[in-house]
Amino acid sequence: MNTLTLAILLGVVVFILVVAFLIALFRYRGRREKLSVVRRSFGRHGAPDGVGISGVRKHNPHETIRRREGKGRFYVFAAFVAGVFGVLLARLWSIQLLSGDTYTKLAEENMTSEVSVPATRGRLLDRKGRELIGNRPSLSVAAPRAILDDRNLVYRLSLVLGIPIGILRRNLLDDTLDMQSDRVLASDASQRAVAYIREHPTLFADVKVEERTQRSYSYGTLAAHLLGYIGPVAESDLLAPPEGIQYESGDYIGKSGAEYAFETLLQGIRGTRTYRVDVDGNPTALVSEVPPENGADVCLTIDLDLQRRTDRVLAEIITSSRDRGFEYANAGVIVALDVKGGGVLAMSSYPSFRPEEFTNGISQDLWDEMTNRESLYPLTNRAIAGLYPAASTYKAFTGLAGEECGIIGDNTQYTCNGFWEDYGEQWGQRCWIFPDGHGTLGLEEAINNSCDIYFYNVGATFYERWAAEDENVRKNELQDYLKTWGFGSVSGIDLPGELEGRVPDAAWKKEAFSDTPEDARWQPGDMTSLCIGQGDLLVTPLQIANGYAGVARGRMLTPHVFDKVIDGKGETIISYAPRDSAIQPSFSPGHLARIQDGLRRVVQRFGGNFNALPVPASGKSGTAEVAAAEAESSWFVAYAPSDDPQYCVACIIEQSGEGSSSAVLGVQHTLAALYEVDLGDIVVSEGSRER
Amino acid sequence: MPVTPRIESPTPLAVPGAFSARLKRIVYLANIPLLLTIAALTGYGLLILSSAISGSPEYTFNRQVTGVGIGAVLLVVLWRLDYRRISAFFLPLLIIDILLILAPLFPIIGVTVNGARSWISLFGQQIQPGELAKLVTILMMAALVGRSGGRIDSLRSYLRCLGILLIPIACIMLQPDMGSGMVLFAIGFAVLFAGGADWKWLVVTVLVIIALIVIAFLVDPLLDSMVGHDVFLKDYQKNRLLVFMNEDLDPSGVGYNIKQAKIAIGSGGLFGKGLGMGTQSGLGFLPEAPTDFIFCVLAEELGFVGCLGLILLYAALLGLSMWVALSAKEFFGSLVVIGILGMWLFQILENIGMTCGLMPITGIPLPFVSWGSSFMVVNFMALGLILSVWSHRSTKS
Repeated sequence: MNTLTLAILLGVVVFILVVAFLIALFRYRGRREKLSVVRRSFGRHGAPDGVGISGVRKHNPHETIRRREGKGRFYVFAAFVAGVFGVLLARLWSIQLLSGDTYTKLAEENMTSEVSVPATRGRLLDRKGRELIGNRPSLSVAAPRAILDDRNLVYRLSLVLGIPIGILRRNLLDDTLDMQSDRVLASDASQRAVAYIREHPTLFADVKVEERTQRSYSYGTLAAHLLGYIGPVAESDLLAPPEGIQYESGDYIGKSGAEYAFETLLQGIRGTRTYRVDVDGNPTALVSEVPPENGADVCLTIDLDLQRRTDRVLAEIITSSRDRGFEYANAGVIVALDVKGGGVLAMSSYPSFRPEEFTNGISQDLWDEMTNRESLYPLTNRAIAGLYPAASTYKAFTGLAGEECGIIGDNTQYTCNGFWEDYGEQWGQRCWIFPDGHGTLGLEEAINNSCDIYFYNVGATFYERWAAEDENVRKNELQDYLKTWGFGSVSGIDLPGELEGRVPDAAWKKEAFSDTPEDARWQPGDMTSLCIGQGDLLVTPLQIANGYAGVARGRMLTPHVFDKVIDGKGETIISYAPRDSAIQPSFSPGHLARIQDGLRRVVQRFGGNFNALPVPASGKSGTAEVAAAEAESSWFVAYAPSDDPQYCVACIIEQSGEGSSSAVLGVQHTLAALYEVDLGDIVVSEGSRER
Repeated sequence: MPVTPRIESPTPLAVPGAFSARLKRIVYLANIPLLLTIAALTGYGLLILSSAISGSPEYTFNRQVTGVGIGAVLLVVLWRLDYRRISAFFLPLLIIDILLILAPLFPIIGVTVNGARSWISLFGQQIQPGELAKLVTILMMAALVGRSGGRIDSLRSYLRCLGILLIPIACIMLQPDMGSGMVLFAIGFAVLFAGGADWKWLVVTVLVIIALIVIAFLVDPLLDSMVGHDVFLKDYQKNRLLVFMNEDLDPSGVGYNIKQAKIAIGSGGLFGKGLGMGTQSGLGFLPEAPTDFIFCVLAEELGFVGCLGLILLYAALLGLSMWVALSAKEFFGSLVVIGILGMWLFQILENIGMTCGLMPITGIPLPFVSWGSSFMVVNFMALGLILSVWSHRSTKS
């Protein structure tokens, strides 16, 4: 408004100046007029030639009046004409010859229109090439935003498609698409609705039926966390797509799991059809076509049969646990690894979700429901993002650390009488077997019996050695060693959302309890708790499975779900090369053999279902105490065969009580499925108190 | 001239001397280079038009050819007419001029096309009397300025001429037809310039007009907001000026025409895409291809060479007309020719200039090329007047 006022003022000033100039000129001319009358009478022209004598001009149609001044003006006029033509030619020269190429390109763009042809998303297959997630044709109904003006048409669409008008309007108003693009109104329209729309083109002007492909989930929720879901591309993805991919609004992209991890392989490259168009943009002829490059089919390391089995086993164990009175048992994980290659054979996380519900964008209600505490976060893949205390399954690693650090020698024995009070009676800690005791034990038997007192002693020694060092040169020899087995860092599995977990040490505690300095000191009890896998330790089920696979093979590998990419003929294009973890644990083979011996004894002692397996197995149970939980969580991890390990299976059932009555079933039934043994129904037994 | 009864001769061509004398007289009366230029220009124009109308059935080639035919007849009539008689009829010319311009506003015969009441319907034919009014204005202004003896000495007489010129301009603005108003002004200005008006007055007149346009542009939004609707300037007029000042403004809206016009011209290159092969005009991207933007069709299909050809023909037309103006013994005759030259020059400059971004967009047709039979007839009548001036260059009364 200010600049406008200023401009008006300026204009008025200019106008006044011009008028003033005019008046001044008029006055000036007025004075000259008198002079010129005089001059005309006696001036250079002399007497007028016959007409207009004495200034009175009587018009004579045949008078001939020529003046020199007039002719001069004609020449000026001619020069002006030449100037105008010169300017026009110069301009044309500049447009046609100097920037001709630019305009030729613009003219070409004017009359062609590029339509992109979406590429079909690649399928996700299991290790044997069986389809886990495929595609199916789907009829979608789309319309331009402009149909909003026709209320009757929107009403008819609402009736035919069975979608409320409000939702249709919301879809049509979608601002993420540009004004001309069609909005998808119903992506899986029924054959009947589509037939009706096609038969009544006049009633449904501008409404288009498009054949697209849609994700098909033949096995429903199978491995939903691992496979992931897709959804409409978000604005942030449009702005920063992965390398080599060009998204368009309306594309579907992987949002989680393998769909997300292998997006660049699955997405494919869209093709383009170039049409010659008329002025209204209607295509008249196909000029050229770049066919789409469909996404590649990705084979995962998952075994379809095993995965189906673990999903079911997990659900049944949880149901059975609840039947046995553990009413809070409601979540769990089974992870099965291929020990030789590091591939994930099965990964089940409970509770689960239906990826199908996400395909067309999930409703806010459903999203809220899936992300609140009561629903137990079904979208979380607990195998890689569930954090638990490792509990007694950790004793294999702390035991090995004790050996490697020279605390546990070949003949080191500790005596367990059920209660450990080395730090005074008020700090006394019970073994799980209290009031009984395990008696005097070596390392193998300590692992077999899962004796807490034995590992308290190891932890106490670790603490003494740590505390004896000068504060500045102290090394966390226990924690540093545990980390070489993959704890406290991501395993590097090719799935999104993996958590690191935590191996607590003095520095961590100081930081974590900085608000309450009196609790921030690293206490002997922290070290002893760590040695039995409790305290502030947090691990993911995958870390435990991967760690035990490491113990089984004596080397750490990066776990993975990617197996290979195959082309349309089933030929392998890219295949996975097993990768050693960047950090490898150091150990002497004898020390590891003692741990493996202890683990073998555990399974032998458990007997039962393990005896039904054709091969000997080794493993360890655990009972995780979580402060806020209603009941302990039950762990079991095992690998088989003991002498030439092939498979490693870890299972945790949240809040299914003490003892390893429930998780062990998960491991047993998974191994049974791998060895094709029938173990019968899944029934969780009474807790054995065994940890 | 006294009419003598003629005796029918059984062998009229038997006398070779008589035929030769007749031919000599025709050669004297006709400006042969000018006639050849007219023929070439008309032919070239029809060629371009035939391509420009190929995609639009509402424009017919026959109507344009009919215009050429009627125009040719009227050309001959005016040619034979002694133009000097007209100079005595200033006042009747002014009245005819006003009547012609206001004719479309009369209820029964007036027709509205594209929001402008510029047409009348006579015997089922739509004609634009405003086109004829341009010619009448030329004669009227030439009669006025010629009467003052070829020298406008006093500011009063200058202002009187300007005031009379403003009458038809004001009438044509009522339609509203901004473009024709500008043509009338160009005509009047050319006649006043050639008629010897003082340089300073002419310069001041132009400055005042520019100042008025700027003020109108600035005050208009204020007035509109006070009154609540458009007062002087219509939105499309403001937009045209805005687009002229910033060519990249709103290329799919108000800036669409100029953008497509420049694409058409630029994509023509040196030799063009070939007659009838233009994509901009042929596929309909170019708006108003047969009328206002016909130059773009030429530029796209025949390229720079084709444009050069047209401009050379125009230069020949204007140059030869100037020759006629200079050779006229009668000052009135010179002024008539100068008025016609002013009309053509302005229309050529405005029409070609707007297509290549040198001038703001206004609906002004391109002489001898744009579709429109009224316009074609008027151009031929103007030629007839020029030839009349030529043929009477040394005739003594």
